[in-house]
Amino acid sequence: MADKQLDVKPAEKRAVEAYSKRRVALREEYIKQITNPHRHGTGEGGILFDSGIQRFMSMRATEYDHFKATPKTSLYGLGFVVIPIIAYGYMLKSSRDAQEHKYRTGQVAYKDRRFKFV
Amino acid sequence: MLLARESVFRSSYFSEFFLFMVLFLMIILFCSFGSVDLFSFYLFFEGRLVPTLFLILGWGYQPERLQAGIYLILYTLFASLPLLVGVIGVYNSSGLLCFFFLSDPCLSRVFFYFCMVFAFLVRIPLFLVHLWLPKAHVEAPISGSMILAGVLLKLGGYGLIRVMVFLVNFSFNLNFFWISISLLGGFLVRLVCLRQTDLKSLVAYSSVAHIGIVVCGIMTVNYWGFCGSYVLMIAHGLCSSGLFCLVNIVYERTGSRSLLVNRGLMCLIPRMSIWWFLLRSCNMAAPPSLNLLGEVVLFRSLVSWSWLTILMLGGLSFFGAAYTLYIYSYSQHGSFYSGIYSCSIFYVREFLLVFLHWFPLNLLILFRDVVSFWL
Repeated sequence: MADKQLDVKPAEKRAVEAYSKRRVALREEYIKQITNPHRHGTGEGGILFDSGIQRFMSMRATEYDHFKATPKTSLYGLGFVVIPIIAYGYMLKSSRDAQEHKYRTGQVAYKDRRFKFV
Repeated sequence: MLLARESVFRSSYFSEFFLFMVLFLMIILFCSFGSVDLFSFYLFFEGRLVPTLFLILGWGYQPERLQAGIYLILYTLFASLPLLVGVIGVYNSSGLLCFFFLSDPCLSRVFFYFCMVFAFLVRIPLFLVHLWLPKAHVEAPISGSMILAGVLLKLGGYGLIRVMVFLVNFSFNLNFFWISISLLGGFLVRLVCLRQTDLKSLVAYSSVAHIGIVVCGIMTVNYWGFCGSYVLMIAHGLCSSGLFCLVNIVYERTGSRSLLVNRGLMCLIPRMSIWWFLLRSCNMAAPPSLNLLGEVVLFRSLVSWSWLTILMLGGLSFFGAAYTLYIYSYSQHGSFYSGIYSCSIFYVREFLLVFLHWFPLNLLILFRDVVSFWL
């Protein structure tokens, strides 16, 4: 019944069958490797090697080696790191100086200070 | 450290030399924390680099440890040379180097302020000069990571507390810059933690994030700031070291530090999940941990210094909890990786190791006044 699907083009059907055949082969190889009693018997642990995971981990570990300083990346660095630090520092300094000026010129009584203890 | 790296003794991989390096490092650290004058502190501050480098290069896992060692040495030495200039400047100004007598401001130039402070900020590490830390932590063996996170970073904080006493006249005008870098840097590093897939790298970045608040507390030059920094340094030393132990326990079983592989661990090693939970909850300053005490005291110190710090502190707390919960949930919950081979569940040695990290972390908060108000 399944091989008499009339709404599937022959090329599509061939592609699905090839994919399924490869998947079954890989699955059998995986089951064969993961149920290896000698490997389980030693108790050494470890994982079954997966090239996809290894490639991903290597990619994440070597990200900086492939980093290129371009105007776009430089703008990212400036916009998210340098300028916010400078702006926030300026705001902290201004607020702190204004607060200290009020305390030192007697505009705020000692008893009215928000934080009295150091 | 010796409990964690039992495999060196089991495989007899230069175990006597390893033991010598660990003990040598311990003695140097004792001497550096116990020194009473600036020059001997500087001597031991630099001296701890040699055994640390030996530990990373000799017993690290990957070839990238060479680059990590170079980063560690160059960053620290480059920043420490001005510290020597500062020490000589202090001696020229005041004629002595003993900490007990250096209570009054004695340096007249801003140049000396930067010389004295920069070395400790690189050591601690401050954001923007923190790049050596994830490399060194990831490439170091578990003993190296534990001593780096637990003690060596705190040398920077200890040094800052010591020198801030006689740098007060510059501190009041210039410390806002370091506070701004630390707060924003802590926020950005917490965002970086959310996208990490390497467990050790994640714990290393979380160290940078926590130490940012410690730096802020010291830079406010408040009594509460100093006390909070002191408490948080102790708490972070225990928590971060414990987390590295847990990561190593998992690494010894799966052979991988990747979060894609080390997931669903509650199904595999359920008795370890409780330690993951306890140490992770301490990491995000959940009660009743020492981190909570340190962070509460530091938040109060920072908010009293300037109300604008609330903006960043809220973001820091939120994203700190976010990445901690993300990591705990991803590593413990859900289905486990299908490609894991059989391994042992847990050794008593590992249980003891993690217990000894957690016990003071959650119990010392009951002795709050003894722990926090030492200074």
